[in-house]
This record gives sequence, C-alpha cells and structure tokens, in this order.
Amino acid sequence: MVDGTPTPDYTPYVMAVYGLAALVYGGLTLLGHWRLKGLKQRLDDFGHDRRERSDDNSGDT
Amino acid sequence: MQRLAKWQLLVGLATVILLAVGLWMSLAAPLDFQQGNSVRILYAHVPSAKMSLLIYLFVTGASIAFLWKKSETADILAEAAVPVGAAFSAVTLASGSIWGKPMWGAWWAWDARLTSMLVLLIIYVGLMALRNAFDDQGKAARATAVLAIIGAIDLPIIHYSVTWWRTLHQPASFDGPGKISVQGPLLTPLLVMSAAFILLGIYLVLLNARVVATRRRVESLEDEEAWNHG
Repeated sequence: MVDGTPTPDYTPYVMAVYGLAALVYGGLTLLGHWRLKGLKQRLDDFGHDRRERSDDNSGDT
Repeated sequence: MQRLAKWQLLVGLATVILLAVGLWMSLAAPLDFQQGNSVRILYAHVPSAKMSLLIYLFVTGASIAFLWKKSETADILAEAAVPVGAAFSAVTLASGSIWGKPMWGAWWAWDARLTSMLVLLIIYVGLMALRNAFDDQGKAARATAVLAIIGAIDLPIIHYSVTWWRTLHQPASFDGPGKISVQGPLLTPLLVMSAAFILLGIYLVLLNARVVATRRRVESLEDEEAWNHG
C-alpha cells in the first residue's frame, strides 16, 4: 500500500477469475468439438443411408 | 471446409502456446503498488473486454455483408461469432465484478461502463434468442442482422463511457499506440494475453462456423429427406 501497510492477499479472487475463464473458454471449445463430432456423424449416417438406398434401387432394376 | 479445419488447427496450436506464455507471465508479473496481486485479474479481464467489443464489431460487419451481398458465409460467421462474443462479455462482467469487490468494496455499481457492457451481453443473448425464434432461416438471418447493426450503437457508448461520464471505472488501460497507461513489466503480460485472446477468439469463431455450416447442411438434408418421404 502507499502508506507502507502491506496489501492483502487477493489470491482467491485471482484464482476465481482464472478458473472461471478456463471453465467458460475451455467449456465453449469442448462443446464446439462435441457438437461438430455429433453433426459429422449425422452427415456420415445420411451418406451411408443414401448409398444403401442407391444400392437397393440399382438392385431393383 | 477442410481448409477451414486446417486453419483452425494452426490457430488452435498458436493459441495454446501464447496462452501458456501469457499465463506464466501474468503469474510472474510484479505486484501493483496499490492493487497488490489483484492486478493479475486484469490480465484476463481487459483482453476479454477488448474481445467482446471486437467480436461485436465483426458481427456487425458480417451482418452488413449479409444484408448487402446476401452472402451465406457472412451469415454463418455472424451466427458463429455471437455466442463467442457473449462468452467474452460474460467473463468480462464476472471478472470485473470479482475485481471490484476487493478494490471498490462492491460486486456491482450502476456505472456507465459496467451498465453499457451489461447491455452488450443482453444484445448478444437477444441475437441468439431472435435467431432461434424463427422457423424460416432466411427471416431469422435478416432479423438478427438488422438487430446486430442497431445494437452496434452500444460500441462507442462502451468505449467512450469512461470519458463521457464521471465513472467509477478507470479510463482504458491501453487504447492504441501512445495511449497506454500501464507501465513496463505490467504491460508485457497484458499485451501477450491480449494477443492470446485474439487468437482464442478467432479459434472459437472458426470452430463455431464449422458447427453452424455442418448443422445447416444436416438440416437441409433432413428437409430433403422429409420432402422425399412426404
């Protein structure tokens, strides 16, 4: 402090902020990857279904 | 899409490296003579605040591009950036509040800077809610683009709030070259963390853009299937 008194230790506040930032930004990153993985899986399923249908149709003719 | 994934990976790697260096520098930085070690909160707070404004500026630009050029890419980028901007705003408000308790003696004050920042978070949430309120994707895109452009009026209010009004919040820590109020050893970690947060923002927007683009493709395939079977 300016008058010579030592400043209190604010470590819990600092840790709370860094923890919160890690949780929010890390969470957003993980959520994005998890959603992307799920959506890609659905796209693959669509492709698979279409290939199966196309095979079935070619078998019919 | 593959090229976007490659860029995203490169930006991701650079983000991790820069964040690790920035974090180490933040924790090793000397204490502020008045704030003690609570000054370390500002290494996360200030870059988050800058990013919440920069991302909104990006959303505004993408919204203008969408309305003007009818570019779907611009709309995807705008949709992808909004939740990222909301996250940066939320962390800015929360970290400011945690810093304010020991420094100002209060978690919150209805100060011009804090209030205008809260308005920005509300606009971000409003943009997400508005987009989800429509079944028609085209109408949702136009409505959110218009709201985003109107909401941009909050950006100069946030930026100049500390000079236009007598606020509890201190003036900007750094506001471009030659307008830096933070000194030497405390400034370097702030600049490194700011660079790391810019990369983090780009990474998250690219990741979300891939999610939005893939989701739209899945939805259009589902519609096509429903149409074929209906």
